[in-house]
Amino acid sequence: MPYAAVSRATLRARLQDRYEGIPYWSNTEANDALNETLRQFNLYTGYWRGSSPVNTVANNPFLAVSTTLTRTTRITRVGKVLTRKSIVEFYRYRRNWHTQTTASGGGVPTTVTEWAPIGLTAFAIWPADAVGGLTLTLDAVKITPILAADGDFLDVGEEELDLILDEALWVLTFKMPSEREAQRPRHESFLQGCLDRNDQLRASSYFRAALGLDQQQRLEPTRRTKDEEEVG
Amino acid sequence: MPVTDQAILSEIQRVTIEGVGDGGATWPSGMWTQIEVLGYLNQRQNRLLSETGIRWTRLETAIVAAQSNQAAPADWVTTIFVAYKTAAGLYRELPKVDALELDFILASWPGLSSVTPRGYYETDGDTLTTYVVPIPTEVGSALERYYVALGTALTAAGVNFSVPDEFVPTVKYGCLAEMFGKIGPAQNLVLAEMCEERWTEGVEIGKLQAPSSWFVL
Repeated sequence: MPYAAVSRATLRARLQDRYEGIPYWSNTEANDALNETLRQFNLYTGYWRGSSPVNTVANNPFLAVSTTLTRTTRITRVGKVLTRKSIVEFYRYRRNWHTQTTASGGGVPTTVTEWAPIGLTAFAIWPADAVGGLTLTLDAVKITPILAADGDFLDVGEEELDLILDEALWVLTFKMPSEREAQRPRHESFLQGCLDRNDQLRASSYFRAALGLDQQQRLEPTRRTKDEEEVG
Repeated sequence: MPVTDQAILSEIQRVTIEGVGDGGATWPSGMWTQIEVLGYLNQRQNRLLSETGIRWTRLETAIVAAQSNQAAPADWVTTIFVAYKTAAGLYRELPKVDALELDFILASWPGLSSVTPRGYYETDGDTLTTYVVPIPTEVGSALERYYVALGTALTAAGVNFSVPDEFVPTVKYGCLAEMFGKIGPAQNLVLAEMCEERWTEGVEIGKLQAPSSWFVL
């Protein structure tokens, strides 16, 4: 069940609360900034997750990801998790994978057992379903729920609102460059919050540098405990 | 909900104080034109697709027998993977090679023909061409390409972006970086740099996401 605590109108009011003075933005601009922030938040953290069914097509190993999803993380069929592979693996280790179906026989399984992503919008399965109509369930990051009307509720817990409002305010400062530097800590807090929720971001040297993580690590003195000193 | 070019053009108009937003139709200040802004949007969308590889296209094209150079698709941007399909319908990987590598492993390769090509290269020949070596001779064979294609051209007519919704702000900031980097009265290098920073954030996250779907080896 989605959250239904904060509407778009309430969010706009809270945005205004964070800026003491006459807002330099219109309602439409605030709405743009909020929706943009939601998209950024979902992009960085994969916050909105869900699943969607896809039916196999007879003898066709290629399937499209539902348009309600952005990034597939896992695929299951009733009673079984499909093993994730890559297209390269399919070609290298299953030479005739393209034409193999659940009816091929020999060493080919009689059910779909593996999948490989093709970018973010499609995937391949092995072996292809000889009959078609088998329902696969895709676990994935969903597309961002956008607030289109003032009465629309934001599907986010209250605990995440600080991050979202901070970033929305940062987005709005685009029209007021003199405010930009003063508001930069809000953007950094947003990035830090995303990093706390998605460890993959730590793999990027760009985000590490943006948040000064490597610098912080360098400045930390290496200290040995008394036990280590005795052993050493 | 797909994002249309008109929605983003209106957002751009609002932040650049070009009115309340009319889908990118009018630019009252005269500093930019509709065609110009659309050009920036299209360039950045295609750059994002190319740099991250978040969207693939799969296409099978018949091989023209007895010639090495096979035309690449017109919307080709970059190749991810190529497979060779025999006339009998069997597929196998066609490894990527380059001319120097071929010099070492196949001394007589220029001009050599075979029914079983060993690889392909794209960097050492004409543009928009895939060279299959040795020259393929099998009639009825085909190349199966996985590649990044150009995005659908944005025309301010309500065309959906070709990147996932979550990457649309990245394209928008890329476009704004171009607009503010323009030499002339519109130039604002501080804003251009800010936009470039937002663009880079999006590209970096795309680079993190896309490779996970490339090679899980």
